Amino acid sequence: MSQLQNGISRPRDTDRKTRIHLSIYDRVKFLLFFGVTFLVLTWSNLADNPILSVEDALNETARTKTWLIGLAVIEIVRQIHFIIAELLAPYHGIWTKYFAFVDRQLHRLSDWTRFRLSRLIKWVLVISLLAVILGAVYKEPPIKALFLAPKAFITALPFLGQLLFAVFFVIIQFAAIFWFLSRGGIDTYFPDDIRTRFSDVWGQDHVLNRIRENLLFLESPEEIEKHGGYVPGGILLWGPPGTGKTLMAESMAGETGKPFVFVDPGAFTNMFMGVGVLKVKSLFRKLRKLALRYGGVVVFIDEADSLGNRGIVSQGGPQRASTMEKSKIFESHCHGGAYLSEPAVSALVRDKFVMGGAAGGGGGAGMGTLQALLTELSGLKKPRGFFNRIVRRTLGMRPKNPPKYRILVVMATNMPEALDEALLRPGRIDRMYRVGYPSKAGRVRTYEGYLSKVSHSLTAEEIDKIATITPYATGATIKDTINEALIMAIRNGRTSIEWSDIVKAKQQKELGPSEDVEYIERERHAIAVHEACHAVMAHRTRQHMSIDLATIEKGSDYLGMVASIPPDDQFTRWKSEYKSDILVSLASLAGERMFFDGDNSSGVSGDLESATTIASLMEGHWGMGSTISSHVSNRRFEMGSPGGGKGKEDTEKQMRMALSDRIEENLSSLLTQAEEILRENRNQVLALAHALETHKTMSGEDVAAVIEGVEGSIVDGRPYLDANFLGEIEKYHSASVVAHREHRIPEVHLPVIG
Amino acid sequence: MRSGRILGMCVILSLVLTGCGESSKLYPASKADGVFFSVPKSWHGLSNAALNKYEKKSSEGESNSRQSLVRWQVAYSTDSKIKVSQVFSLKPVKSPLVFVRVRDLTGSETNDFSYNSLRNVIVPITQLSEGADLGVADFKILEDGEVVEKGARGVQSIYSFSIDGTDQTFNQTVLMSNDRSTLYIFMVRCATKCYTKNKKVMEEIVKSYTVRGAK
Repeated sequence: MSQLQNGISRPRDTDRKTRIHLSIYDRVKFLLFFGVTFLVLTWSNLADNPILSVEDALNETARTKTWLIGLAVIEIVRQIHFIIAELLAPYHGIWTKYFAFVDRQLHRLSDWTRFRLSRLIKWVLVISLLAVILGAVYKEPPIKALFLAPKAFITALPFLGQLLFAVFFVIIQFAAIFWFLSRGGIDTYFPDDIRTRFSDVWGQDHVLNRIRENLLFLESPEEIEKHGGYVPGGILLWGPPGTGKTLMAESMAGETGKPFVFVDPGAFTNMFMGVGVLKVKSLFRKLRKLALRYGGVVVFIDEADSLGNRGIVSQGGPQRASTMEKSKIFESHCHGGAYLSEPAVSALVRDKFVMGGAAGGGGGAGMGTLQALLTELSGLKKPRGFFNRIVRRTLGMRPKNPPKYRILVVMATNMPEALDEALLRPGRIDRMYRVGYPSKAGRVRTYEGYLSKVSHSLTAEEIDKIATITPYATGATIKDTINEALIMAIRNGRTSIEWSDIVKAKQQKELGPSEDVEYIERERHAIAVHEACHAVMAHRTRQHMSIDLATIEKGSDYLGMVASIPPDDQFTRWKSEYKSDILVSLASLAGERMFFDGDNSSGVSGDLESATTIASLMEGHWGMGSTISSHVSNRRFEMGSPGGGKGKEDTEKQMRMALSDRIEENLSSLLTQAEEILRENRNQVLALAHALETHKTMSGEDVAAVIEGVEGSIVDGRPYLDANFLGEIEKYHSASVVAHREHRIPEVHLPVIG
Repeated sequence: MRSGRILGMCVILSLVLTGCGESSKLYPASKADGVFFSVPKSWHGLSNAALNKYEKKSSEGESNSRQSLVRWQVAYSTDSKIKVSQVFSLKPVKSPLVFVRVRDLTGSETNDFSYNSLRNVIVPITQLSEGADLGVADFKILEDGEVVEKGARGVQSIYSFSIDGTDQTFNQTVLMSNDRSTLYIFMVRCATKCYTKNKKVMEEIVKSYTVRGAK
């Protein structure tokens, strides 16, 4: 009965007390080889001398070719040594210890020295073999023959040339195509080629600190390895575009003293099957060589999503879903998922996964490139070198372990969900860092950094302010804004950037150029009132956002707008906040109905849509309504909603009805609330509408100034406290309402301050 | 046990490879000239160098220049004390003697040489057979015939005569290369008594004589 049937594992080589048994072929193969060589030499003797008898020829060969006999004897001794090692454990033990000792001695040399030595020995072997063969050909001593060979070669060159040309002409057509195709896309930078340093990357300090740690491990891997750990070999930087992933990689190249290999996103996209695989293989051959020579190498694969993925294996989903969907689900919440067990999380995301999975898959470089990359990243590490693999095995020694290649793989992508699951597993990509939007401090640093390169007159407070009102600015957009501001300054005949340039540049970048449409008076007033309602409501009720700007200039897809921004970096959202969001949305409907005698425009459609969406989510998802259970779960398990019917057929319908009723109820009560607030702030709404009609676009600061009746940075709000002026505005409004109803030009024109 | 059997096989193979005995014969040959023959192992040889040296010393003038035409020559005898002078003398030897010589033909020789010239290279057989008195007695041609080898052709003659009252037998094969540039002289001789006694061995030696011609 074999060990397999007994359920005993085959012992490891290191656990065996005796040597593993050789097969018959392995025992006799060399003797067979020597025997055949002997017979060939005998035959050669017979051919040389026609009167020689076979017996005498054998004897002659044995007499003259003593080296062959010597080799055969060595082989026999070796086989006897093997047989004894197979039978006697103590004997095998001694040799094992001896080879371990030899290995230790050899490992005193550095990997690179051993690599060079092995290469030297290989060359010496090849040259000696060549010398012996040439010696036999020229009937000269091997060394002399070695010098004769070049002469013969030169003589034969024209003929060889013809021959080679014929051969190459055929081969070169294929070879050249593949060679040229497998070039390019991979650039190597050596230390000092790159001047970018970590200090050039602003606003991403937390990521930089982690990366610095990785580089430290690359520099001195022994620190972690001597304690039994392993060096993390792969980093994925993911996040929105323009957040500095590539810059970070560049600074890594600048910081580390190791070569840096940059792989283009398009490097692995090829016309022919298999070229991508060749490229990956040649890339990693290069990396291993660089790693040995310089003691480490950093490879950066930009836009790693271009590698594509292999699609989803059917039924294999939860793992994938757990990395991708989970992050999506949990990032905007208060990480409620963290309190759940793994199976519960999987159950939660399964539905989403099926939807996403069907759409994903394929694409990218394809055709085995990704697989080749996966294998190279963590495939079997075969022992390297001819001497190591062949000669050591022939001598009965175990090949040395392959050297540890210090390769740090850095990938960057803004579509992590497009990456293959297998690429992201620990061992290939050990760490994933999100390079998100920079923090406020980071933005301030970035503004300061870019502003320091140009002439400007901005104060520290102003820089702080611009950083505050651009919460989603990235390095790239900040650079662009500053550049735009500079262009504006130059266009205005200045060389120094001022605060107004920055604000205008920001508006230009965020809103795009206005369409320069002049509204007719009554429509202008209607839009101004619409936006003023939003702005007043936002100013009065919404504390978690502040108004960035209000405008009634027509853009490509809007008539006017009130843009808000979060004043702080905030990660949780609250019921009160959502409620005020709905109030701000509903303010337009409430205001239009109130100011235009119950009439309202279609312009409120977008506002109603967002109000309804938020109200639905509050009611059905976020536990901010009158019930607690989640609409998503209810629907999945086909349960009725609380208080809904029990019949299976009508469950869905009833559930929806119950839910929509509750949503409508909430919205109605909020609409009433909005109306009340606007009624209380009627003067402010009309004042702000007047200011908007006058100035077209106003910053958040000025909006607040008009509402509060104080002096703003550009617009003075104090005149709006004047009752007479308010009366004029009210008159203008009444005339506009009449004009609106009767579709004519208002009799009263827009009052002017002062 | 399997490993025991394998070990046995290895030992046998190694014994076969190392060889239990040595060659039964000597195979003197000039591979460059394509001349091969064999003699029993117990025979003693006189090297090319020794023969050349003697010939150079003993000859002068014309024969010296002829000596320069010699490409290869060796002699073998059962007698370990055989002297080089005996090889080049026509005096009877008591033990079998083989002599081989390969030499270039001069321009005139190339044009003149006939089968008779080949016969007369060592001893003027033609004249002796016609009864000319050249100081030898009882001249007899025992056998005479054409020999065709791969690289050369010529005549083999077995004849005997006596000098100083001792009868001796010659077995000579003289060939000329097909391109008429080289002369191959091969001779086995001994006192007739000795020849008769060692006939079998000597015939075997003659039989082994092979001329392939220069490569």
